[in-house]
Amino acid sequence: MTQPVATVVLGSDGTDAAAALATATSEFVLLHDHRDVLVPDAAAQLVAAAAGPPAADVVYADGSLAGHDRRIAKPDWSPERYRFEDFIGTPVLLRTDLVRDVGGLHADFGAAAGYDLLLRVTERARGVVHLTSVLSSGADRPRVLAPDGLRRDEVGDSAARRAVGDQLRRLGIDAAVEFEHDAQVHRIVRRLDPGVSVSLIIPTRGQAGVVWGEERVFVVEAVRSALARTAHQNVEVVVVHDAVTPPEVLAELESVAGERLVLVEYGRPFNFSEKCNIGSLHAGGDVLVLLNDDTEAHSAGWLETLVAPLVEPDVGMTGAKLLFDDGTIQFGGHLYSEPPPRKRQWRHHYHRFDPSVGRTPRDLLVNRETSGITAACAALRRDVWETVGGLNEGLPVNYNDVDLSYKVRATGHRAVWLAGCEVYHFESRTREKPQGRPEEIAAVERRWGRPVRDPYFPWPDPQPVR
Amino acid sequence: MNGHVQESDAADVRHRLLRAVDRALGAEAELARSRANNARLNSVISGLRGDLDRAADQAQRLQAARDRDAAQLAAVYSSQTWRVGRSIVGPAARVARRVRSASARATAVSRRS
Repeated sequence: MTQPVATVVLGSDGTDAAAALATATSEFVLLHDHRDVLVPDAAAQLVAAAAGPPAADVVYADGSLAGHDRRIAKPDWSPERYRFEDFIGTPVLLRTDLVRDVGGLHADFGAAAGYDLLLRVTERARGVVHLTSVLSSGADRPRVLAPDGLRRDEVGDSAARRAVGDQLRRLGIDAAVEFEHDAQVHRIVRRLDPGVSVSLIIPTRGQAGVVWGEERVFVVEAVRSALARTAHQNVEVVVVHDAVTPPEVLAELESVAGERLVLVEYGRPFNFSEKCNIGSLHAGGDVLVLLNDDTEAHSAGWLETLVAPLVEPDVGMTGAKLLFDDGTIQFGGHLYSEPPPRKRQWRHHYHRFDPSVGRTPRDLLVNRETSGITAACAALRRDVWETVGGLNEGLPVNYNDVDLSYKVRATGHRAVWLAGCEVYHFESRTREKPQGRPEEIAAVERRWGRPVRDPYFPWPDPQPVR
Repeated sequence: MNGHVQESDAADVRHRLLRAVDRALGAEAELARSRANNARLNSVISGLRGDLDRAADQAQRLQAARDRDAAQLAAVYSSQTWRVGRSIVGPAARVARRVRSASARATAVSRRS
């Protein structure tokens, strides 16, 4: 009778493991690091999870540090994040047939052989399941890439980078892979096809205010910075403005954006969702970028960084790292879970976190899947926008982006937050800081329920430094 | 393109379509949630029903045992052996009670004197 699981131990050299995998006749193989200590029924739990429903080809579980009670909580399957860092680590259960179909373990990747194998297997897996029970304790964080406590750049950096580069080529993604030595994570720089047309949709009423000690008309500076900090030429700017917007503001917008400007007058009471929806009807782009007027593009190539990941069909929505004017984090991805005291169930992760103090969390250094993206700066392909029906106009002020994110994910798309796309957001300078109204909360809960556990941020909320 | 655009009829139709799609998706999500809630409630109800059935079985078993015991007791009371035994043991028990109470009275008198 065929054994359900064969165990393959990964050491610092992939050679033995490659041979063991090649001869495995079991239904599954369990890859684990030679320093992992597994709980007695770890293999059985992983196999049960693979059986489903739904059936999965890859199963991984949470772990803990040896000698500590600290749980290493891992996010649910996040393909974009996995390219930046190996958060799965070991142990991991793989269906043997699939391992064989993708060519088994390539020993020439050395210490990164397991990582390379998982990149290839997960591309074709029917499902990748995360078990939230602790099935192992090990000496370190997930570390297929860095055996024996060595820094990854000392042992397998170039191989790991090559593995990611190979995956991007297989998937037809035009990008370069770099390695951040300090943070020990990859960085992927995608190139945006110049043929992709992009429409920025900016609702405004043409207000002015003071930022960094200087008076500015927000929408003008938003448009100016957005166009100045991108080399992408195929861009139009759709400004949906209230009737009260001063004519000189509109004139200045025309001088900044020229032929690329589309002005749409909006004459009804404030409804952010409706303004964006109307903007989208007058936009001609393949990609729509919702942008608040109180923003300023910060990083060079921000638009290319924001839009390029949408080339992957299952990426439905992307968002930027938003910063307050003092450099603290305004938006590091949405987090939907049972709320801690005095917080909402839908909230901005790392809100008010100061990245300049102490060590920056890896969450803020890697691209990653997230539960949602703020509509202050969000990019969607037009087909996805139309599939989900744009923004819910029943939510005129708050949580329309939460609802949009739920819709995007409900239609089988990923929402991806991009660490390398930085935009300032001078939040609430153009209107009072919105308070969630009970009827808006009830409307979102009626559709999507109350969240319990965020799939991508399974660890507690970090405390703001300031 | 430059200058103001008006909301044309075509744009109005597309706008209504966008809203309709949103509402349809929302309704689908609400339906899915209702179905999930129903499934959860059904599973709770079927669990409770199982508990109830088990409790009813248990009550039935206890009742049957009680009926059996009562029948056995009735059979014992109505048996000849029991009646003969009672006719012997009954008077002897009455004599024993009297002896016990007489001896108690005698002990009380001697303590007073």
